[in-house]
Amino acid sequence: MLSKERKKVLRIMDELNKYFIENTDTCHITSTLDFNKETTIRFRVHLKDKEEIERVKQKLEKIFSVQRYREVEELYWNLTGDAYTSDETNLVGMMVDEFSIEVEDDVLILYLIRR
Amino acid sequence: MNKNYRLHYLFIFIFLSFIVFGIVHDGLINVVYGLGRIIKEPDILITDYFEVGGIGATFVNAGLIGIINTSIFLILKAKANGAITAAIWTSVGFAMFGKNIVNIWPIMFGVWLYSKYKRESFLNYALIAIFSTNLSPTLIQFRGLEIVHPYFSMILGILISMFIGFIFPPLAAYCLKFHQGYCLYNTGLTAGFIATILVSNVRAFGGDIPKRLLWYNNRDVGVEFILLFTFLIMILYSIKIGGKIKVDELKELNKTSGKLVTDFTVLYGEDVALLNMGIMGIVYMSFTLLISNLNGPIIGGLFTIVGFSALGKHLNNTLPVVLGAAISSYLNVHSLTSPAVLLAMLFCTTLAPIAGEFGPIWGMVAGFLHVSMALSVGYLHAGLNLYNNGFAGGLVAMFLIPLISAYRERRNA
Repeated sequence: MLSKERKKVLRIMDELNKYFIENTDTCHITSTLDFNKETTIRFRVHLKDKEEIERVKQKLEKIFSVQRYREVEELYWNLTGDAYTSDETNLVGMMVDEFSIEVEDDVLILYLIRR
Repeated sequence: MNKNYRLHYLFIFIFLSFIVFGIVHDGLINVVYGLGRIIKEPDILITDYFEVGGIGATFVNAGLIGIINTSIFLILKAKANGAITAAIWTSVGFAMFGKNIVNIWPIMFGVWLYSKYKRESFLNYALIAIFSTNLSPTLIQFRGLEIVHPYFSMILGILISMFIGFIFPPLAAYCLKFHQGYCLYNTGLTAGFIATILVSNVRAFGGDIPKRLLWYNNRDVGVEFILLFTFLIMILYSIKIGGKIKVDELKELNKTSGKLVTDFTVLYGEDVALLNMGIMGIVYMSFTLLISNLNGPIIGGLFTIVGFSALGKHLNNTLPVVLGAAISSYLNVHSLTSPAVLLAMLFCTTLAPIAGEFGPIWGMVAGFLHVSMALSVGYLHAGLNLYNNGFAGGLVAMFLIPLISAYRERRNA
Protein backbone atom coordinates (compact mmCIF):
# COMPACT_ATOMS: atom_id res chain seq x y z
CA MET A 1 0.00 0.00 0.00
CA LEU A 2 1.29 3.44 -0.89
CA SER A 3 2.29 5.70 1.97
CA LYS A 4 0.31 8.87 2.54
CA GLU A 5 3.31 10.96 1.46
CA ARG A 6 3.56 9.14 -1.86
CA LYS A 7 -0.18 9.43 -2.43
CA LYS A 8 0.09 13.19 -1.89
CA VAL A 9 2.94 13.47 -4.38
CA LEU A 10 0.96 11.53 -6.97
CA ARG A 11 -2.04 13.82 -6.40
CA ILE A 12 0.17 16.89 -6.91
CA MET A 13 1.40 15.43 -10.20
CA ASP A 14 -2.15 14.53 -11.28
CA GLU A 15 -3.37 18.02 -10.55
CA LEU A 16 -0.55 19.65 -12.51
CA ASN A 17 -0.96 17.27 -15.45
CA LYS A 18 -4.65 18.19 -15.46
CA TYR A 19 -3.76 21.88 -15.39
CA PHE A 20 -1.32 21.63 -18.32
CA ILE A 21 -3.69 19.54 -20.43
CA GLU A 22 -6.75 21.73 -19.75
CA ASN A 23 -5.10 25.12 -20.02
CA THR A 24 -2.41 24.83 -22.70
CA ASP A 25 -1.98 23.50 -26.23
CA THR A 26 0.75 21.13 -25.11
CA CYS A 27 1.08 17.72 -26.70
CA HIS A 28 4.15 16.62 -24.79
CA ILE A 29 4.62 16.50 -21.02
CA THR A 30 7.31 14.53 -19.22
CA SER A 31 7.65 14.30 -15.48
CA THR A 32 10.27 12.81 -13.19
CA LEU A 33 10.11 12.07 -9.51
CA ASP A 34 12.91 11.60 -6.96
CA PHE A 35 12.20 10.29 -3.48
CA ASN A 36 15.19 11.03 -1.28
CA LYS A 37 15.41 13.00 1.95
CA GLU A 38 13.23 15.47 0.14
CA THR A 39 10.89 14.77 -2.72
CA THR A 40 11.67 16.47 -6.02
CA ILE A 41 9.18 16.63 -8.87
CA ARG A 42 10.18 17.89 -12.30
CA PHE A 43 7.85 18.69 -15.19
CA ARG A 44 9.03 19.40 -18.77
CA VAL A 45 6.16 20.87 -20.76
CA HIS A 46 6.43 21.68 -24.47
CA LEU A 47 4.31 24.74 -25.14
CA LYS A 48 3.08 26.44 -28.29
CA ASP A 49 4.95 29.73 -28.21
CA LYS A 50 6.57 32.35 -26.00
CA GLU A 51 3.22 33.97 -25.23
CA GLU A 52 1.84 30.73 -23.83
CA ILE A 53 5.04 30.10 -21.88
CA GLU A 54 4.79 33.53 -20.27
CA ARG A 55 1.11 33.02 -19.37
CA VAL A 56 1.75 29.60 -17.80
CA LYS A 57 4.89 30.84 -16.03
CA GLN A 58 2.97 33.70 -14.43
CA LYS A 59 0.20 31.38 -13.28
CA LEU A 60 2.66 28.86 -11.80
CA GLU A 61 4.59 31.61 -10.02
CA LYS A 62 1.35 32.83 -8.47
CA ILE A 63 0.37 29.33 -7.37
CA PHE A 64 3.70 28.40 -5.83
CA SER A 65 4.69 31.71 -4.27
CA VAL A 66 2.40 30.75 -1.37
CA GLN A 67 4.10 29.22 1.65
CA ARG A 68 3.43 25.60 2.59
CA TYR A 69 0.45 25.22 4.91
CA ARG A 70 0.82 21.78 6.49
CA GLU A 71 -2.41 21.99 8.50
CA VAL A 72 -4.46 22.85 5.39
CA GLU A 73 -2.73 20.11 3.43
CA GLU A 74 -3.56 17.45 6.02
CA LEU A 75 -7.27 18.22 6.01
CA TYR A 76 -7.83 18.89 2.32
CA TRP A 77 -5.23 16.96 0.26
CA ASN A 78 -7.83 14.42 -0.83
CA LEU A 79 -9.40 17.13 -3.00
CA THR A 80 -6.44 17.26 -5.34
CA GLY A 81 -6.18 15.22 -8.47
CA ASP A 82 -9.58 13.85 -9.26
CA ALA A 83 -12.38 16.40 -8.87
CA TYR A 84 -15.24 16.50 -11.35
CA THR A 85 -14.82 20.05 -12.50
CA SER A 86 -12.55 22.04 -10.35
CA ASP A 87 -9.09 23.46 -10.36
CA GLU A 88 -7.20 22.66 -7.16
CA THR A 89 -3.89 24.14 -8.21
CA ASN A 90 -4.12 26.69 -5.38
CA LEU A 91 -4.22 23.82 -2.90
CA VAL A 92 -1.23 22.22 -4.60
CA GLY A 93 0.62 25.49 -4.05
CA MET A 94 0.07 25.06 -0.31
CA MET A 95 1.58 21.55 -0.43
CA VAL A 96 5.02 22.48 -1.78
CA ASP A 97 8.02 23.96 0.07
CA GLU A 98 10.06 25.31 -2.84
CA PHE A 99 9.73 25.79 -6.56
CA SER A 100 11.70 27.07 -9.51
CA ILE A 101 10.89 27.58 -13.17
CA GLU A 102 13.25 27.47 -16.15
CA VAL A 103 12.55 28.10 -19.82
CA GLU A 104 14.48 26.45 -22.68
CA ASP A 105 13.17 27.54 -26.08
CA ASP A 106 9.56 26.33 -26.12
CA VAL A 107 9.93 24.12 -23.08
CA LEU A 108 8.92 25.14 -19.59
CA ILE A 109 10.62 23.23 -16.77
CA LEU A 110 9.03 23.27 -13.33
CA TYR A 111 10.86 21.98 -10.23
CA LEU A 112 8.96 21.34 -7.01
CA ILE A 113 10.41 20.31 -3.65
CA ARG A 114 8.64 18.82 -0.62
CA ARG A 115 10.52 18.29 2.62
CA MET B 1 4.13 43.49 14.92
CA ASN B 2 4.89 40.29 12.96
CA LYS B 3 2.72 40.49 9.83
CA ASN B 4 2.34 36.71 9.78
CA TYR B 5 0.33 36.83 12.98
CA ARG B 6 -1.54 40.14 12.74
CA LEU B 7 -4.88 38.43 12.11
CA HIS B 8 -4.34 36.26 15.18
CA TYR B 9 -3.71 39.40 17.27
CA LEU B 10 -6.80 41.11 15.86
CA PHE B 11 -8.93 38.09 16.73
CA ILE B 12 -7.51 37.95 20.26
CA PHE B 13 -8.37 41.63 20.69
CA ILE B 14 -11.97 40.92 19.61
CA PHE B 15 -12.21 37.88 21.92
CA LEU B 16 -10.91 39.95 24.83
CA SER B 17 -13.64 42.48 24.07
CA PHE B 18 -16.18 39.62 24.31
CA ILE B 19 -14.89 38.82 27.80
CA VAL B 20 -15.07 42.46 28.89
CA PHE B 21 -18.56 42.76 27.39
CA GLY B 22 -19.72 39.62 29.22
CA ILE B 23 -18.44 40.82 32.58
CA VAL B 24 -19.88 44.32 32.11
CA HIS B 25 -23.20 42.89 30.94
CA ASP B 26 -23.88 40.50 33.84
CA GLY B 27 -21.26 41.21 36.51
CA LEU B 28 -18.34 38.98 37.48
CA ILE B 29 -20.22 36.87 40.07
CA ASN B 30 -23.06 36.04 37.67
CA VAL B 31 -20.57 35.22 34.94
CA VAL B 32 -18.71 32.78 37.22
CA TYR B 33 -21.94 31.01 38.25
CA GLY B 34 -23.15 31.07 34.65
CA LEU B 35 -19.94 29.46 33.42
CA GLY B 36 -20.38 26.76 36.06
CA ARG B 37 -23.85 25.95 34.73
CA ILE B 38 -22.62 25.97 31.13
CA ILE B 39 -19.92 23.44 32.04
CA LYS B 40 -22.23 21.15 34.03
CA GLU B 41 -25.28 21.08 31.75
CA PRO B 42 -25.61 18.74 28.74
CA ASP B 43 -24.75 20.46 25.47
CA ILE B 44 -26.60 18.59 22.71
CA LEU B 45 -28.51 20.48 20.04
CA ILE B 46 -30.15 22.84 20.71
CA THR B 47 -28.73 24.13 24.00
CA ASP B 48 -28.60 27.90 23.92
CA TYR B 49 -25.99 29.01 26.44
CA PHE B 50 -27.85 32.35 26.77
CA GLU B 51 -30.58 30.30 28.50
CA VAL B 52 -28.23 28.09 30.49
CA GLY B 53 -25.65 30.53 31.82
CA GLY B 54 -26.80 33.96 30.75
CA ILE B 55 -25.52 36.32 28.07
CA GLY B 56 -22.45 37.44 30.04
CA ALA B 57 -21.16 33.94 30.77
CA THR B 58 -21.80 32.89 27.17
CA PHE B 59 -19.67 35.71 25.78
CA VAL B 60 -16.91 35.01 28.32
CA ASN B 61 -17.00 31.33 27.33
CA ALA B 62 -16.84 32.25 23.62
CA GLY B 63 -14.03 34.75 24.22
CA LEU B 64 -12.00 32.17 26.16
CA ILE B 65 -12.54 29.48 23.52
CA GLY B 66 -11.44 31.97 20.86
CA ILE B 67 -8.29 32.87 22.77
CA ILE B 68 -7.47 29.21 23.44
CA ASN B 69 -7.85 28.25 19.77
CA THR B 70 -5.96 31.26 18.43
CA SER B 71 -3.18 30.68 20.98
CA ILE B 72 -2.82 27.07 19.81
CA PHE B 73 -2.09 28.32 16.29
CA LEU B 74 0.27 31.00 17.63
CA ILE B 75 2.18 28.45 19.72
CA LEU B 76 2.47 26.20 16.66
CA LYS B 77 3.64 29.25 14.63
CA ALA B 78 0.88 28.72 12.09
CA LYS B 79 0.30 31.84 10.00
CA ALA B 80 -3.34 32.85 9.77
CA ASN B 81 -5.01 31.71 6.56
CA GLY B 82 -8.58 31.14 5.42
CA ALA B 83 -8.92 27.67 6.91
CA ILE B 84 -7.50 28.71 10.29
CA THR B 85 -9.76 31.77 10.35
CA ALA B 86 -12.78 29.60 9.55
CA ALA B 87 -11.86 27.11 12.28
CA ILE B 88 -11.37 29.80 14.93
CA TRP B 89 -14.61 31.65 14.19
CA THR B 90 -16.68 28.49 13.82
CA SER B 91 -15.47 27.35 17.23
CA VAL B 92 -16.24 30.72 18.78
CA GLY B 93 -19.70 30.60 17.24
CA PHE B 94 -20.39 27.14 18.64
CA ALA B 95 -19.09 28.29 22.03
CA MET B 96 -22.46 30.05 22.16
CA PHE B 97 -24.30 26.72 22.07
CA GLY B 98 -22.37 23.55 22.72
CA LYS B 99 -18.63 24.01 23.11
CA ASN B 100 -17.20 25.18 26.38
CA ILE B 101 -13.86 25.64 28.08
CA VAL B 102 -14.01 22.10 29.54
CA ASN B 103 -15.66 19.83 26.98
CA ILE B 104 -13.35 20.64 24.04
CA TRP B 105 -10.20 19.11 25.56
CA PRO B 106 -10.70 15.30 25.41
CA ILE B 107 -11.37 15.33 21.65
CA MET B 108 -8.44 17.65 20.95
CA PHE B 109 -6.27 15.38 23.10
CA GLY B 110 -7.43 12.42 21.01
CA VAL B 111 -6.34 14.23 17.82
CA TRP B 112 -2.99 15.01 19.48
CA LEU B 113 -2.58 11.30 20.31
CA TYR B 114 -3.26 10.48 16.67
CA SER B 115 -0.52 12.89 15.55
CA LYS B 116 1.89 11.11 17.93
CA TYR B 117 0.72 7.72 16.62
CA LYS B 118 1.49 8.91 13.06
CA ARG B 119 4.82 10.41 14.26
CA GLU B 120 3.90 13.75 12.75
CA SER B 121 3.86 17.27 14.12
CA PHE B 122 0.61 18.31 15.84
CA LEU B 123 0.69 21.35 13.54
CA ASN B 124 -0.45 19.06 10.69
CA TYR B 125 -3.56 18.15 12.68
CA ALA B 126 -4.26 21.42 14.52
CA LEU B 127 -6.97 22.47 12.10
CA ILE B 128 -8.71 19.11 12.40
CA ALA B 129 -8.39 19.27 16.20
CA ILE B 130 -10.23 22.60 16.36
CA PHE B 131 -12.96 21.54 13.94
CA SER B 132 -13.42 18.11 15.57
CA THR B 133 -14.67 19.67 18.79
CA ASN B 134 -18.10 19.73 17.14
CA LEU B 135 -18.60 16.43 18.98
CA SER B 136 -17.80 17.99 22.36
CA PRO B 137 -21.29 17.30 23.79
CA THR B 138 -20.29 13.62 23.90
CA LEU B 139 -18.25 14.29 27.05
CA ILE B 140 -21.18 14.96 29.32
CA GLN B 141 -23.96 13.22 27.43
CA PHE B 142 -23.26 9.82 28.93
CA ARG B 143 -24.20 11.09 32.36
CA GLY B 144 -27.65 9.77 33.15
CA LEU B 145 -27.72 7.01 30.56
CA GLU B 146 -29.41 4.05 32.21
CA ILE B 147 -26.96 1.58 30.73
CA VAL B 148 -24.01 3.22 32.46
CA HIS B 149 -23.38 3.40 36.20
CA PRO B 150 -23.34 7.09 37.21
CA TYR B 151 -19.84 6.81 38.69
CA PHE B 152 -18.41 5.66 35.38
CA SER B 153 -20.37 7.93 33.08
CA MET B 154 -17.89 10.81 33.11
CA ILE B 155 -14.90 8.51 32.62
CA LEU B 156 -16.74 6.81 29.76
CA GLY B 157 -17.52 10.24 28.25
CA ILE B 158 -13.83 11.23 28.41
CA LEU B 159 -12.65 7.96 26.90
CA ILE B 160 -15.21 8.05 24.08
CA SER B 161 -14.39 11.69 23.35
CA MET B 162 -10.67 10.87 23.16
CA PHE B 163 -11.42 7.92 20.90
CA ILE B 164 -13.49 10.21 18.64
CA GLY B 165 -10.53 12.60 18.41
CA PHE B 166 -8.24 9.68 17.57
CA ILE B 167 -10.37 8.45 14.65
CA PHE B 168 -11.44 11.88 13.39
CA PRO B 169 -8.44 12.89 11.18
CA PRO B 170 -8.49 10.02 8.65
CA LEU B 171 -12.29 10.15 8.44
CA ALA B 172 -12.32 13.94 7.88
CA ALA B 173 -9.79 13.66 5.06
CA TYR B 174 -11.73 10.81 3.44
CA CYS B 175 -15.19 12.43 3.69
CA LEU B 176 -14.04 15.17 1.32
CA LYS B 177 -14.19 12.65 -1.50
CA PHE B 178 -17.93 12.23 -1.00
CA HIS B 179 -18.80 15.81 -1.92
CA GLN B 180 -15.60 16.98 -3.68
CA GLY B 181 -15.35 20.13 -1.57
CA TYR B 182 -18.83 21.48 -2.30
CA CYS B 183 -19.84 21.30 1.37
CA LEU B 184 -17.73 23.81 3.28
CA TYR B 185 -18.49 22.27 6.70
CA ASN B 186 -16.83 18.98 5.79
CA THR B 187 -16.06 18.13 9.41
CA GLY B 188 -19.81 18.33 10.10
CA LEU B 189 -20.33 15.48 7.67
CA THR B 190 -17.53 13.51 9.31
CA ALA B 191 -18.90 14.13 12.80
CA GLY B 192 -22.40 13.25 11.61
CA PHE B 193 -21.25 9.78 10.57
CA ILE B 194 -19.31 9.23 13.79
CA ALA B 195 -22.19 10.42 15.98
CA THR B 196 -24.71 8.34 14.04
CA ILE B 197 -22.67 5.19 14.62
CA LEU B 198 -22.21 6.08 18.29
CA VAL B 199 -25.89 6.87 18.91
CA SER B 200 -27.16 3.84 16.99
CA ASN B 201 -25.06 1.63 19.26
CA VAL B 202 -26.27 3.44 22.38
CA ARG B 203 -29.85 2.83 21.24
CA ALA B 204 -29.11 -0.78 20.28
CA PHE B 205 -27.97 -1.49 23.84
CA GLY B 206 -31.00 0.04 25.47
CA GLY B 207 -29.89 3.61 26.06
CA ASP B 208 -31.35 6.78 24.63
CA ILE B 209 -30.43 10.42 24.46
CA PRO B 210 -33.33 12.74 25.27
CA LYS B 211 -34.20 15.67 23.02
CA ARG B 212 -33.33 19.15 24.17
CA LEU B 213 -34.45 22.62 23.09
CA LEU B 214 -33.29 25.65 25.04
CA TRP B 215 -33.79 28.81 22.98
CA TYR B 216 -33.43 32.40 24.21
CA ASN B 217 -36.12 34.63 22.71
CA ASN B 218 -35.58 38.11 24.13
CA ARG B 219 -33.96 41.07 22.43
CA ASP B 220 -30.74 42.47 23.89
CA VAL B 221 -29.39 45.68 22.35
CA GLY B 222 -25.98 45.10 23.94
CA VAL B 223 -25.58 41.86 21.99
CA GLU B 224 -26.45 43.64 18.74
CA PHE B 225 -23.90 46.32 19.61
CA ILE B 226 -21.01 43.91 20.32
CA LEU B 227 -21.65 42.04 17.08
CA LEU B 228 -21.78 45.25 15.05
CA PHE B 229 -18.58 46.36 16.81
CA THR B 230 -16.92 43.07 15.83
CA PHE B 231 -17.82 43.35 12.15
CA LEU B 232 -16.91 47.05 11.96
CA ILE B 233 -13.52 46.36 13.58
CA MET B 234 -12.86 43.81 10.82
CA ILE B 235 -13.68 46.34 8.12
CA LEU B 236 -11.65 49.12 9.77
CA TYR B 237 -8.62 46.85 10.27
CA SER B 238 -8.93 45.78 6.65
CA ILE B 239 -8.68 49.44 5.60
CA LYS B 240 -5.75 49.98 7.96
CA ILE B 241 -3.61 47.14 6.59
CA GLY B 242 -4.74 47.55 2.97
CA GLY B 243 -4.58 51.35 2.90
CA LYS B 244 -8.06 51.61 1.35
CA ILE B 245 -11.27 49.69 0.71
CA LYS B 246 -10.26 47.35 -2.10
CA VAL B 247 -13.48 47.33 -4.09
CA ASP B 248 -12.03 45.80 -7.28
CA GLU B 249 -10.47 42.88 -5.40
CA LEU B 250 -13.75 42.37 -3.54
CA LYS B 251 -15.58 42.19 -6.87
CA GLU B 252 -13.08 39.58 -8.09
CA LEU B 253 -13.50 37.64 -4.84
CA ASN B 254 -17.26 37.59 -5.46
CA LYS B 255 -16.69 35.84 -8.79
CA THR B 256 -15.01 32.79 -7.25
CA SER B 257 -16.90 29.53 -6.80
CA GLY B 258 -15.90 29.26 -3.14
CA LYS B 259 -15.31 25.53 -3.43
CA LEU B 260 -12.82 24.09 -0.97
CA VAL B 261 -10.05 25.27 -0.85
CA THR B 262 -10.70 28.86 -2.00
CA ASP B 263 -8.57 30.70 0.52
CA PHE B 264 -9.30 34.42 0.21
CA THR B 265 -6.37 35.41 2.45
CA VAL B 266 -4.00 33.71 0.01
CA LEU B 267 -5.74 34.71 -3.23
CA TYR B 268 -6.60 38.34 -2.43
CA GLY B 269 -4.78 39.18 0.80
CA GLU B 270 -5.75 39.31 4.44
CA ASP B 271 -7.27 42.79 4.08
CA VAL B 272 -9.73 41.78 1.36
CA ALA B 273 -10.66 38.61 3.25
CA LEU B 274 -11.31 40.68 6.39
CA LEU B 275 -13.39 43.15 4.41
CA ASN B 276 -15.49 40.30 3.06
CA MET B 277 -15.88 38.87 6.59
CA GLY B 278 -17.07 42.21 8.00
CA ILE B 279 -19.52 42.83 5.16
CA MET B 280 -20.94 39.30 5.37
CA GLY B 281 -21.37 39.70 9.12
CA ILE B 282 -23.31 42.95 8.79
CA VAL B 283 -25.49 41.70 5.90
CA TYR B 284 -26.45 38.42 7.56
CA MET B 285 -26.95 40.01 10.97
CA SER B 286 -29.34 42.52 9.37
CA PHE B 287 -31.14 39.68 7.55
CA THR B 288 -31.48 37.72 10.79
CA LEU B 289 -32.79 40.72 12.73
CA LEU B 290 -35.67 40.99 10.24
CA ILE B 291 -37.06 37.66 11.44
CA SER B 292 -35.55 36.91 14.84
CA ASN B 293 -33.67 38.21 17.86
CA LEU B 294 -30.03 37.31 18.35
CA ASN B 295 -29.29 34.42 20.70
CA GLY B 296 -26.51 31.84 21.13
CA PRO B 297 -27.28 29.54 18.18
CA ILE B 298 -28.09 32.42 15.83
CA ILE B 299 -24.80 34.13 16.69
CA GLY B 300 -23.12 30.76 16.15
CA GLY B 301 -24.57 30.73 12.63
CA LEU B 302 -23.42 34.30 12.00
CA PHE B 303 -19.86 33.69 13.25
CA THR B 304 -19.61 30.54 11.14
CA ILE B 305 -20.61 32.54 8.07
CA VAL B 306 -18.08 35.22 8.99
CA GLY B 307 -15.28 32.67 9.52
CA PHE B 308 -15.94 30.92 6.23
CA SER B 309 -16.00 34.29 4.49
CA ALA B 310 -12.22 33.87 4.53
CA LEU B 311 -12.60 30.40 2.97
CA GLY B 312 -15.18 30.43 0.21
CA LYS B 313 -18.29 32.36 1.20
CA HIS B 314 -19.32 35.68 -0.29
CA LEU B 315 -22.58 37.42 -1.11
CA ASN B 316 -22.82 36.10 -4.66
CA ASN B 317 -22.60 32.44 -3.76
CA THR B 318 -24.49 32.50 -0.45
CA LEU B 319 -27.58 34.57 -1.35
CA PRO B 320 -29.06 32.05 -3.86
CA VAL B 321 -28.69 29.23 -1.33
CA VAL B 322 -30.32 31.28 1.43
CA LEU B 323 -33.13 32.24 -0.97
CA GLY B 324 -33.75 28.56 -1.75
CA ALA B 325 -33.77 27.78 1.96
CA ALA B 326 -36.19 30.66 2.61
CA ILE B 327 -38.59 29.39 -0.08
CA SER B 328 -38.45 25.89 1.40
CA SER B 329 -39.06 27.29 4.90
CA TYR B 330 -42.04 29.31 3.67
CA LEU B 331 -43.63 26.36 1.87
CA ASN B 332 -42.95 23.55 4.34
CA VAL B 333 -44.96 22.67 7.43
CA HIS B 334 -42.50 24.30 9.84
CA SER B 335 -42.73 27.88 11.04
CA LEU B 336 -40.30 30.29 9.42
CA THR B 337 -39.23 31.40 12.88
CA SER B 338 -38.82 27.97 14.49
CA PRO B 339 -35.29 27.46 15.86
CA ALA B 340 -34.26 24.60 13.56
CA VAL B 341 -35.50 26.44 10.46
CA LEU B 342 -33.75 29.66 11.42
CA LEU B 343 -30.50 27.79 11.93
CA ALA B 344 -30.90 25.89 8.66
CA MET B 345 -31.37 29.20 6.81
CA LEU B 346 -28.03 30.49 8.13
CA PHE B 347 -26.02 27.27 8.03
CA CYS B 348 -27.29 26.29 4.55
CA THR B 349 -24.52 28.58 3.28
CA THR B 350 -22.29 25.54 3.68
CA LEU B 351 -23.51 24.77 0.15
CA ALA B 352 -22.49 28.17 -1.27
CA PRO B 353 -19.91 26.57 -3.63
CA ILE B 354 -22.75 24.88 -5.54
CA ALA B 355 -24.18 28.30 -6.40
CA GLY B 356 -20.68 29.65 -7.09
CA GLU B 357 -19.72 26.82 -9.43
CA PHE B 358 -23.00 25.84 -11.11
CA GLY B 359 -25.05 29.06 -10.89
CA PRO B 360 -27.81 30.53 -8.71
CA ILE B 361 -30.56 28.09 -9.79
CA TRP B 362 -28.61 25.07 -8.57
CA GLY B 363 -27.72 27.09 -5.48
CA MET B 364 -31.41 27.63 -4.75
CA VAL B 365 -32.13 23.93 -5.29
CA ALA B 366 -29.35 23.09 -2.84
CA GLY B 367 -30.72 25.53 -0.25
CA PHE B 368 -34.25 24.20 -0.71
CA LEU B 369 -33.17 20.58 -0.17
CA HIS B 370 -30.89 21.52 2.69
CA VAL B 371 -33.67 22.73 4.99
CA SER B 372 -35.62 19.46 4.80
CA MET B 373 -32.46 17.43 5.25
CA ALA B 374 -31.30 19.48 8.24
CA LEU B 375 -34.67 19.05 9.93
CA SER B 376 -34.50 15.26 9.49
CA VAL B 377 -30.94 14.10 10.15
CA GLY B 378 -30.85 15.33 13.74
CA TYR B 379 -32.56 12.10 14.86
CA LEU B 380 -29.66 10.03 13.54
CA HIS B 381 -27.07 11.61 15.82
CA ALA B 382 -29.48 12.77 18.56
CA GLY B 383 -27.96 16.24 18.58
CA LEU B 384 -24.46 15.04 19.52
CA ASN B 385 -23.03 16.54 16.33
CA LEU B 386 -23.14 20.29 16.78
CA TYR B 387 -22.52 20.78 13.03
CA ASN B 388 -25.87 19.18 12.16
CA ASN B 389 -26.13 21.42 9.12
CA GLY B 390 -22.69 20.34 7.94
CA PHE B 391 -23.92 16.75 8.05
CA ALA B 392 -27.12 17.68 6.18
CA GLY B 393 -25.24 19.86 3.68
CA GLY B 394 -22.74 17.09 3.00
CA LEU B 395 -25.55 14.66 2.21
CA VAL B 396 -27.25 17.18 -0.11
CA ALA B 397 -23.95 17.81 -1.92
CA MET B 398 -23.33 14.05 -2.27
CA PHE B 399 -26.76 13.79 -3.91
CA LEU B 400 -26.55 16.86 -6.15
CA ILE B 401 -22.96 16.97 -7.41
CA PRO B 402 -23.02 13.72 -9.45
CA LEU B 403 -26.39 14.72 -10.95
CA ILE B 404 -25.29 18.23 -11.88
CA SER B 405 -22.02 16.95 -13.30
CA ALA B 406 -23.77 14.29 -15.41
CA TYR B 407 -26.23 16.86 -16.74
CA ARG B 408 -23.45 19.28 -17.65
CA GLU B 409 -21.37 16.54 -19.35
CA ARG B 410 -24.41 15.60 -21.51
CA ARG B 411 -25.02 19.25 -22.39
CA ASN B 412 -21.35 19.89 -23.22
CA ALA B 413 -20.90 16.64 -25.21
